[in-house]
Amino acid sequence: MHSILERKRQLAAFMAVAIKGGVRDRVIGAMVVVGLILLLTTPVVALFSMRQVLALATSYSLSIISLMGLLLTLFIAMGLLARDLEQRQVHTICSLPISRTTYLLGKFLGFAILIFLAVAILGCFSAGALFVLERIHPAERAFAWGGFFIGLWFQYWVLLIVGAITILFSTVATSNFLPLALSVGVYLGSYSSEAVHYFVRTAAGQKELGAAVRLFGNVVYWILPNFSAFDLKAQIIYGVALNGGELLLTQLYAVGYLGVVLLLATLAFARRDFL
Amino acid sequence: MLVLVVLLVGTQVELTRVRDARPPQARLGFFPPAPVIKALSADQYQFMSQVISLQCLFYFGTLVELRSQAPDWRRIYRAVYTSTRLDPYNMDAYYFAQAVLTWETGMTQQALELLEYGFAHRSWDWHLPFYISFDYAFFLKDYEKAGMYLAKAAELRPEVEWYATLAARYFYEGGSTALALSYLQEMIPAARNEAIKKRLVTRARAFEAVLQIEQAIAAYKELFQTDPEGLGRLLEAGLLERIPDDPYGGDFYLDEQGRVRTTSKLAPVGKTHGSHKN
Repeated sequence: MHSILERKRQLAAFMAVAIKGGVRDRVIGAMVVVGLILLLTTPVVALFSMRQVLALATSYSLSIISLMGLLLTLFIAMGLLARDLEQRQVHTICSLPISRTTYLLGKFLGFAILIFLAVAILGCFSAGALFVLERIHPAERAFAWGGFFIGLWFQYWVLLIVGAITILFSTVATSNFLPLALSVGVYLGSYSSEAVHYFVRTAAGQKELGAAVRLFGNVVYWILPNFSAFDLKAQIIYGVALNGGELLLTQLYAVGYLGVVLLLATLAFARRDFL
Repeated sequence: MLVLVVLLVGTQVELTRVRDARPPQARLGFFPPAPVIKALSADQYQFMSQVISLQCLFYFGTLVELRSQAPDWRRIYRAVYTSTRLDPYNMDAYYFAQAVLTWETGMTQQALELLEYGFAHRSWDWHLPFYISFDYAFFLKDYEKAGMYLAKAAELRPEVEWYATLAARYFYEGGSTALALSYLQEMIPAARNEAIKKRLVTRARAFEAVLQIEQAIAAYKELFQTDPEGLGRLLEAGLLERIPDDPYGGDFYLDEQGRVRTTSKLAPVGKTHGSHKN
């Protein structure tokens, strides 16, 4: 019992350190500034649309949130371990009676809270801009506010998974650039893996592609996260109906994928030799 | 410091001049095929689709309206095609295709393919079957398909009663000028872009003029039981106070079949993309 409490305390301490790191880097302030820019530029960008002002505004807002979220995720996740490794604080921590798993998971929880705050801040500014635009330029179909927040929630899970993957690469890489390059590659590939997997199973794919390419397409699909399932932009922007069962399945898949990546990261980190 | 500022401003001015002087073919830029853009832009493809359709609009607006140059229509079509393949729900792309590709270029078949692709996705949107219906009736004279799509538009927008009766009233009795005017009167209030709106308003004014002459011809036939030999007869009979102006700068006349024609062919002076066929 004492051990569990102690572990929770340690987890909370590392989480707090990660959050303080984000605050020290002025992450929250930066997101407020980006959010204000988003709020001010959304109506201007949207007015260029010929027939769908609100749709363009929504598309623009979600794109900015996604892009800023990705940059922030890579920035924070890269720094989580790199800073401690560079300053050799990991050596001190490893000499204390603290498990490396607790250290890594604590850091990840701190990262998750920072990213949540960032998405929430950007989402609120974006919602404000869309709320005003909806009143000025009402769309023929009512804006799907429920879908908007569900979409943001799944965007958040994409960032959590990308962050976990970056941390996994950081636990084994000896340079800062490699985890960054690999994470960006995984991120891009994860939005195409579903389409590739679908194509290799079609008659055209069977005919046009060799066995090795088809196998590669299948393997990539099973290894990379399927971010296409998390992408609800069409549903949000155009009010296309959401499928509750599919959303639930995607959420469970996200939990499973994140769990596996964090497990691999803790295993790799536990075996890493810092001396 | 001053030297650097002068260098910056000087190069910026010169760069703007050189870039502005590029041929129309180079101004819209090159867009890779949709699957390539999709693979490289991750979840940004919807926004990329919007950006491409806006690029088309800027290209069209600046080149045609401000510089009076003929755009590269094939390139515009390919860009709009890419935009719709990236985001099949992108209404701006469909609206642009309908407003520009049909009237301006005669690429009705390509525009129809885009619109039908859009309607397969935007199945709730009455605009698309309405546009498709018009294109089939007015440009392709395929009244069966036009009626079918107008019925779909009527289903989606039951509050507009004339949709349901338009097919029978216009498609079987002829009168595509009135059909064109009805269509343009739907398009104009919704046009948010000034370049597009200006084009539609000019075209509507032209069709109003044609309709005015056609109504006078119908009255002449009823009075004299014969076709007028020329537009002058309508003036002599007091059915027209004056021959209406063609907003495209041409002169109206009657062809051998007694149909209203204009020397401008309903295209801005110097262009012969379209002609009014009644």
